[in-house]
Amino acid sequence: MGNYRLPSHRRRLLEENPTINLVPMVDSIFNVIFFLLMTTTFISIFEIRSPIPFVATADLKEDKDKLNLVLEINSAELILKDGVSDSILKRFPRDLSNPMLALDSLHQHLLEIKQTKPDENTIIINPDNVVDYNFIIKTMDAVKEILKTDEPIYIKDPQGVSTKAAFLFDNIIFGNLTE
Amino acid sequence: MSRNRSIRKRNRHNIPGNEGELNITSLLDILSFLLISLLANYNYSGQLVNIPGEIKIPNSTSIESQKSGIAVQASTHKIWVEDKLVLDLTSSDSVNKILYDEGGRRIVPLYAELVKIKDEIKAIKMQVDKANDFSGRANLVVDEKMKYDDLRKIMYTCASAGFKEFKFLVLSEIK
Repeated sequence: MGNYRLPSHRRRLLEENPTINLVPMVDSIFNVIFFLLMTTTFISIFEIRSPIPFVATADLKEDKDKLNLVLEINSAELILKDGVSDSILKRFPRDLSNPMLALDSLHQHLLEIKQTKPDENTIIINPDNVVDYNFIIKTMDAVKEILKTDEPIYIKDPQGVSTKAAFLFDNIIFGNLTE
Repeated sequence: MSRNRSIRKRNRHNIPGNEGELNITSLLDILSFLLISLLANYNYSGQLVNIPGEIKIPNSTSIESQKSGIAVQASTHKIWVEDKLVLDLTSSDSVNKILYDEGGRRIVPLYAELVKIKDEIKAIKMQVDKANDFSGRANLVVDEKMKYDDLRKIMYTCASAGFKEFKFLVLSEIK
């Protein structure tokens, strides 16, 4: 009995190992990778927006409750001013060996201001002619971004619900563009 | 010869499933990894910006993805609009031309090119209803060493040509 096998038994044994055909899947992955390689950019480019001052400052100085913050940037220091009274709120001397020191101090001071006026989001910056573009961008970062390590600031949305503020002062306007 | 004579082995090469199979599991692993890494780094904005070799844009912590707009590329000596060179201060051709007006605040060749592009976009919109309207956005691709004095001229020129918003393109500092 042990030697008795049907003629088709050996063939059936060989056919009992089903495999998934991966070739169409590899084909489709190759196509997607080819498309992505052709269209992707390997450097991450982002943007910082700024409206033109003629449009943006039209109603800024009329509201007395607004902070009207003005930041002057020159080669020696950053000066934070009240835009209405033109009084100096604080000076941040620039250390040329470590330019980030003044920006860190400015960022911390702006965080304190934002805690008292969470709905305020506008600041006017007036860089000096000799200030380079790289430092202007770094200043805009310090003025705009709330870092993960910063204390969270809560603002109320139009429905009155408290939400975490995404930005510090994200409406950055160049005030001296027409001078 | 003896192998071919064997009755048992004669038809072994005809048995289905006995062909040599290529193991593609590791290949599939590599492709999947490549696919995931490409998808993770993919820029969905669809806006391609050419950065000339003379320009090194600054790093920033900003994470706002870029939107469509007219690209104004500026190095310390040259200005391009949508990759077309409009001002080259190193060229001898620029010596006899009027480069600035409005008290030195406006760059004449840049202004002319921006107005031309704006008019073209508006003309297309008039003819084709589904065409994109003039966004009024200027994507500024500016070299990090440029002084504000020069940057201000570019921004002033863009504003006087009818652009309402500036977008400073920056490289991400976040890894």
